[in-house]
Amino acid sequence: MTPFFIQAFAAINAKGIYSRSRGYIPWNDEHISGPVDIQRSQVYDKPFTGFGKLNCTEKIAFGAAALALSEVPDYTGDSTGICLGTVFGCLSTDLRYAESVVAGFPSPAVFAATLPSSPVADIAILFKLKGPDRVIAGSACPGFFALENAMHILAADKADCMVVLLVNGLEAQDRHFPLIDAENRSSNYAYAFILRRNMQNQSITYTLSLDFDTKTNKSLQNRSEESYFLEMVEAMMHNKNYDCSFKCNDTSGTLVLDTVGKLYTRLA
Amino acid sequence: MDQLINELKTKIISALKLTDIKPEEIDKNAPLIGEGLGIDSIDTLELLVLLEKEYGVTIPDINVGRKIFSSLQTLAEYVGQNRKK
Amino acid sequence: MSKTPIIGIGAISAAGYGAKQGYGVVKSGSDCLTPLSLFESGLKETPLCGQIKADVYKSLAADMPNRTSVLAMAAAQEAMAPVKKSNRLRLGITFATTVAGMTRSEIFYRELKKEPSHIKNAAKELAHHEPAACAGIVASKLGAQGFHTLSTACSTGLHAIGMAKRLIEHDRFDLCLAIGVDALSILTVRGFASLMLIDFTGCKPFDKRRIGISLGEGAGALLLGSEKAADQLGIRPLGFVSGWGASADCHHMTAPHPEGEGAKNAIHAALTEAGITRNEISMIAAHGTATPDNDLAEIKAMRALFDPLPPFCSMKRTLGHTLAASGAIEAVYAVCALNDNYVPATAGFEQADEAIGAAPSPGEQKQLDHILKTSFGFGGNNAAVIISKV
Repeated sequence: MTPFFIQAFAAINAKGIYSRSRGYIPWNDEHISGPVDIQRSQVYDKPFTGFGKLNCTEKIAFGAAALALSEVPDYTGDSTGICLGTVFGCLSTDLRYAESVVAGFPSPAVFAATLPSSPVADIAILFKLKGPDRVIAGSACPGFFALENAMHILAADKADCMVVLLVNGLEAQDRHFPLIDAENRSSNYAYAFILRRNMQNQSITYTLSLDFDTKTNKSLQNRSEESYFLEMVEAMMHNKNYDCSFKCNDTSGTLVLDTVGKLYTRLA
Repeated sequence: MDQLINELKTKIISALKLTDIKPEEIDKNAPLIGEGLGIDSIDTLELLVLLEKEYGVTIPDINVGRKIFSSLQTLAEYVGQNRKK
Repeated sequence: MSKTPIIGIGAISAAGYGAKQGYGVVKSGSDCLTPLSLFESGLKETPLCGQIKADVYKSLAADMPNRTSVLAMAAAQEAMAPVKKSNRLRLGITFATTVAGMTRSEIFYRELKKEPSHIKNAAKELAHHEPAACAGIVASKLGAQGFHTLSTACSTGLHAIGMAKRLIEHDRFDLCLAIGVDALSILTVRGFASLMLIDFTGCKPFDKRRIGISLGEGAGALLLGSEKAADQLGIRPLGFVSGWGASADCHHMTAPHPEGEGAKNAIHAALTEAGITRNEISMIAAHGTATPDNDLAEIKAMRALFDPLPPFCSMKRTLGHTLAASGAIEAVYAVCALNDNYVPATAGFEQADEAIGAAPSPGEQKQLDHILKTSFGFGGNNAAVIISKV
């Protein structure tokens, strides 16, 4: 597909917070040890009383989107949409809701938050983004698919700006819940990219190209999708180009399907 | 009544996760729903659940509920009169 | 932009198994809701729901992990009928669901609370909890080369169709099966009840007396393909997906924008893509969930866009609100209506609402060229699809 442009990006993950405007901020406060503890002031300057109500996934999705959008003063809410990819949504919320039903008092607010699309609604409502929204749930690489979807939407002229997110969230205390496999599901991360169809007038922009291969590549190792996104963001933080051939495997294990392709980001 | 009001303040802040707000900042005569505390219609339903769970108080429907929720004072009076716990 | 051929359709719902059969029931405006009997909901009153009896899909159920997967497979198989195994066409799947494996997980969870030792079964019981796992099973059985799973609540079914269209336009697949599925679950029923959105006596779309939704379950599948694929299969398409649009309300998590602003934008985008003018829309298969807010906002948006307003219908009293499946199932029946040149009646409607200012069609024969199908999801997620005659 013809290259698109990344106008801004941000990430919140196990290592810290990444954004061009604030630089790389590692977690170094004993009270704020990771994405789970993120404070509103770390990601958004204006008051937002609803921040406390957000679950972990919503908080970090919101945080990454807020940081990225703060660097894009020229976006038009009416023609900006969101594509979010998530492997697990927010398992904690699902559990919390199930608990409330079993206890006899289903919680309406928690029910509304069990939808994988609830972080998208929060972001759309606060930043007034009225363009198309889509949520890709699960599969091997929802983040790459979210990027692809955003490109399709831009190519079809349904929006001129897309906020692309890859998010996974899990509350800290729920890691110890026996139903959740601590190995696979314990990482919390949110990556946000502001994708444009056309080059914008500003100092630093990256072109992004993404193509999927129809045949698998036996010489490549399977890696987690997040590992590629981390490398990509770190390269962009240092104004470096990034090229990769990626291979991700279906994590739900029902169908052995490799998703393979090539991605590059280059200084425009 | 004041004790019940203070108790309600703490429970509401906790149930609705109003982390940026302290109990002393809630005016007992100000409207509960809307701009001030940022309480919306889903939060109102959460309040119904809270009242049933903590005080055994059921409110017949959401429209009656809106009148009771017009301020913390009216809510406390309703709970005081109808509580089963 | 291109018109994307619809090569096959499949549906299973409270109206029956089989697209044509279900359409016959929808057409006449029959009420297929029955008192909820699939499980104990724990509610004081039993709501009327669109339920599917087990014997309807018994033969498929054997090796499927949960009801959602069974229903999806039932619709998928019917839609895939035109494709013989020997075809070397690349098949993709776009899969829309909100409930997924929760129908089984919630039962396991309750038992786990009573008997903690059941934890040893967790891996097996929860293997298909997530939407992607349900999609994976169907993809595996159909020999698909790839699948995508979507979840944006009630609008997801139409998103699956829109995404399938793009994947074919961008030559990622020759055929793409858009599936929307949701099964009834305790958690969903209790959740909607806690939001006070349910009408226990049966929803009344666009009616003055409407107070809420009725839930339903089912699956709809549309097999889209490139023109080349349709030629190769020797199939005359059942219709075209000619336009698609989506937008966000930016208003509230569970209530629609009162003026239907987002809905207008989505419909406008679909019309632009289809390259047709507003007065070429012959019929609207509306979302019509029967909540006081939705029906008012939806028709307000329609009346602002269309003058005169084309005949419209809601299938929600016949099928129940099938959530993520609704866009897909109702689009399937809309394809049938298109070819039948008939606007279905709307079950549950009796008294017009002056505030809405329009009444659904009583059921009428009419030359249909382009049908507009709309769906609106929680969080203000709107989608619109235009299905056109061949």
